[in-house]
Parts: sequence; C-alpha cells; structure tokens
Amino acid sequence: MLRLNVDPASPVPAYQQVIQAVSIEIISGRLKEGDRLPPIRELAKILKLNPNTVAKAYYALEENGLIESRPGSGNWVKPRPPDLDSLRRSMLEAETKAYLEQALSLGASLEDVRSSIERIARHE
Amino acid sequence: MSDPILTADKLTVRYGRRTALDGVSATFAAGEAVVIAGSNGAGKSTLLRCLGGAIIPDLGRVVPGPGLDRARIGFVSDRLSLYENWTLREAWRFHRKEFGIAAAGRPPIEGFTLDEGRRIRHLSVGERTLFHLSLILAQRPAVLLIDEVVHGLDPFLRERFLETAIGAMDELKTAVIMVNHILSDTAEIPERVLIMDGGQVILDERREDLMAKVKKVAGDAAFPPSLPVLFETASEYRRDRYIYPFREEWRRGSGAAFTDIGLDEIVKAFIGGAYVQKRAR
Repeated sequence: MLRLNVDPASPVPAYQQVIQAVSIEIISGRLKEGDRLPPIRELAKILKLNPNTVAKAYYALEENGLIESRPGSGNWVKPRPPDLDSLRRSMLEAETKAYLEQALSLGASLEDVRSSIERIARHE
Repeated sequence: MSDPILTADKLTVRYGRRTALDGVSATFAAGEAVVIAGSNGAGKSTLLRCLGGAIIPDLGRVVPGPGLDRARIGFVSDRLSLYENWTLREAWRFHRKEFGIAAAGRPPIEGFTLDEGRRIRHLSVGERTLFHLSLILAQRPAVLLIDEVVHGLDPFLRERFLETAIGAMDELKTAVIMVNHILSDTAEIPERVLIMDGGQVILDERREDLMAKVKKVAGDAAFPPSLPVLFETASEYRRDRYIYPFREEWRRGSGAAFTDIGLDEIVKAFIGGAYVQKRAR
C-alpha cells in the first residue's frame, strides 16, 4: 500500500506534493523496480485531485527518470533510477534545512541540535 | 489551451433595481475545472445559471463551444425539480425520456446506493444531490455546473461526490465549473480560480499562479509603502497584511518575511479587500 498524502491546505502545489510523495516511496525502496503506480484516475480519486494534476506529476516523474509510462498499461517504476543517491541527498538536505531553521529559531545552538538528534536516535 | 466549451460574453443581469451581473465575460475551456468564489451576493450563482441556460441575461450572451449539445450541460443543485411524489425509478424514467438517454440503468455512484422504490420527498439533502448527479451523468455531460452543493454534504457523501466528478473529468473530459465559498471543500480539483464581487469578476487566475502571487506578512515588520497591500487584519495581538501581486525580488532587502498561504486564506483576503473598498466608497 502506498503512503501517499496530499495536504489541500498546504501552499505547496498539489502536483509537487505528488512528485515528492512518489519520489520518497521510490527512494526509500517501498516502491521497487517493476512496481506499477496507481492509474491516474484512481490516484486522483483517492487524493481528490484533478486527473490533470496527477498526469502532470507522473510526467515530471518520468522526466526525472524515476518512472516510465508504457502506453496502454500505465506507469511503472523504472529499473534503478540513475541519480538515486543525489536525489536522496537533495531531499534529505531540504528536510534538514527546514528542521534546522525551526530548531535554531528556538535559540538552540548547533551543538544542542546535534546532541538532541543523537539522544533521540539512540532511543528509537 | 483547448477549445472553449462555454463563453460568457458581457453578461448583465438585473433583478429589479439590483444589478446581479455587471458585464461579466469569461471563457471556459473543454475539460478544465474552475471554482468561482466570492462574497455573498457577488453574482456567482447568477453567472452559473446563465451558463446553464436557466437565466437569460438582460444584456450579452452565452456562447456554447462548437458542436456542444445543450443536453450535455448538466446543472447540479440540491433543489431538484422533480415531482416530490415520484419514486427514484419514476424520476429516472422521466429523465431518460426528457433527455433521450439510451442507457437502460442509472449510472452508479461508487460506494453509494439508493433504493429505487423510495420517493424523492423522502431523500435527505445529500441523497438528493447525489441522485441528481447520477441523473446528470447519464447525459454524459461535457460541462458540469455545480452550484454550492458540496459544502452541504456530509464528509462521506462529499467524497463520493468529488470522486464521481473526478471520474467524469477523466472518462468524459467533462469541464467542471463549481461555485464555492470554501475552496478546501473542492479539494484539489479546480485548476483555475475566479473571484467575483459586486457582479463582476475581480480575479481570474490559474491556481498555482494565484498561490505564487499572494503572500502574507505577519506582524509589524516595516516594508516599503509601495508594496501592494490587498487586505489587512489587525487586532491588539495580531496583524496580518496580504500582498498581491507579489514579486519574488521583494524577499531580499524589504525587511519583511513573506509567507505562503493556502487558497482559503487567499480568497478571504480578496473578499475582505473588496468589503473594505466598498466601505470606503
């Protein structure tokens, strides 16, 4: 089962949320080579999106080399995405940046942040 | 942009001395999804009824796209004009004949069934709306006009309604034009937003462009007086200013933090701005 969600209240455009969500599924390995993505119409219904929005997101994912569209049989996860590591790194960096801004705005030092991360990681 | 499926050409509608529509023009493309928002009495429903042919404008006209059959314009409302005493089966039979529909059965709404022997008057508002939608689907609509019905549905029926509309958009390339106050009720379906006020269209933007062009500045940060403030709310504890149209280069050097906001808040800012202008006049 896919863990895809779109937040309608978010200022991030829905198609970008879909691109991000599907990318995460692929990068994390939850979606593997040869897995089929939900048909556009089904994903649109599940997420209450305009079918054009889903189509646009799938098209961008194809451009990024993560999926391929096979005429008449839908969209499939491609064998070994070319730039998996750099993609993973750039998404991780975006997440870290957002988190760090929030943490530093509390007045924490970089050292506080580091030790807090280590402490929580040890407990989980 | 695909071909227009409906064009409103300088529509004016007067109710007595009140002008409900004041020279409104707008073009709707085949297969696109548009939401019309705006203050109460802005003229949204009047525009929708003109598009559906239920109101003949005093001035101007509605031009259907090439080859558009009137029977393929569906108008969904919760005021279903059928005999209250009819059963659903009888209502369907009448509707089939009226629109020359070949299909034997009423198109199903996924996850929602009604007993065909029930009478119209025994349906709840939500059941009426979905029944009406299924009748209209049988017309294989090229255009679905949806007048402020989504917010009256319970969360379960709202999902069934939206899914059905999404299915029609995908399968029939139906254009969806919906009137709604609360844009989050329409999920992520509309790609284009029209905001009306005082019988006019005061904004017509692609959803994404609109979201990029409206920003909020929270707090008292000073910024150049030349920045266009659309609307401002202020109390002792909180001050928000809404900027439109926003330009990315203002992020640097203006000293203010511009935050992205969702569509509901954007619509609120436009409607609020229009109320302030009215008061000033």
